[in-house]
Amino acid sequence: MNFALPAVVVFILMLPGFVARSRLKRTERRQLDYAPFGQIVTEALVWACLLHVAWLQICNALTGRHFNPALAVGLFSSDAKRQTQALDTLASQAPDITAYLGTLTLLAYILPSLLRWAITRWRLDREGSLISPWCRLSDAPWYYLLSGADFAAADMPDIISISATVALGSDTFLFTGILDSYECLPDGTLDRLMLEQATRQPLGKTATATTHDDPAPAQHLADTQEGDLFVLRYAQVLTLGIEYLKLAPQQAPSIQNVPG
Amino acid sequence: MLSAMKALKSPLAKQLLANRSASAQLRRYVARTGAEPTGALPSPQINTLEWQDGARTLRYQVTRVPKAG
Repeated sequence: MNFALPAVVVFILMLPGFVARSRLKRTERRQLDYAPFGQIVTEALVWACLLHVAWLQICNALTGRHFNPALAVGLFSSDAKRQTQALDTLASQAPDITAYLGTLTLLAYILPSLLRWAITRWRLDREGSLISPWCRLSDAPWYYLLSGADFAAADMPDIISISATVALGSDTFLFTGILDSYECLPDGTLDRLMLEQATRQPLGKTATATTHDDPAPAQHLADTQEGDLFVLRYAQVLTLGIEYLKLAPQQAPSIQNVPG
Repeated sequence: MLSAMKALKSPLAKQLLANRSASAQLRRYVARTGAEPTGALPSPQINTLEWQDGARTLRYQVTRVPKAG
């Protein structure tokens, strides 16, 4: 069987870099850019280099064994004899090399996951944070807008309210509700918003009859959308309003004591 | 394949939304604040949510928080 050995070697050597990058990055865009010098491949290459250098140093300190660059170069050689020699040496050390690559791939999975968790946990990527430029991920604008990740812990809102205008036929409606969750397409664009406590109000039929003192007519204009969740397709939305709301406890007017 | 993400919702908000009376009040508040820029509905005067949790009366004031950053 014939196969391109150098390509396989490159793939195996690069794999930890791709794993590490995918675990660290929080991205809404999942269509990968496979161009040889595209952003994803370049980042993965840098990650792979850093991980290999670090892991080789650690393995050297732990086992006393050294990396042999001649063996690696031999695998890429077009000289069949030299490549066979390198392969034979590789085969004789197969358990060690398998352990090295296996543990490195595992490290590439765990270490960036922990790093990502720490960045999210301590909000190191929020706008205004001192190390935000290094921790912030530019591929997730909706995440920063809709998850509250940009707020400091003390200023954190409780809830996000959404108001969106949607054209249905010849009429335009205003949909409002509490944001529960959202979904993005593989290209990173927002696909849909899931709303709780959704209402629909026809625009244009302004509430001339409503007053501040009499909310009843306004309630008639705003139809409650039945169901646990209301799904709003972003493609149908003309304008989208986002409001962050905070609930501040107030002294209750009276506390009822129930006997028993 | 779509990627689903949970939006911001604090434990207090979840507790509020689980209460029928409180969630109805919040729905009316959000409907009015959402309609405010369009002029379809007047802005809400009452921004206090009040509901019963067993024997207790819970009262929370809703305030708008400016976007961070």
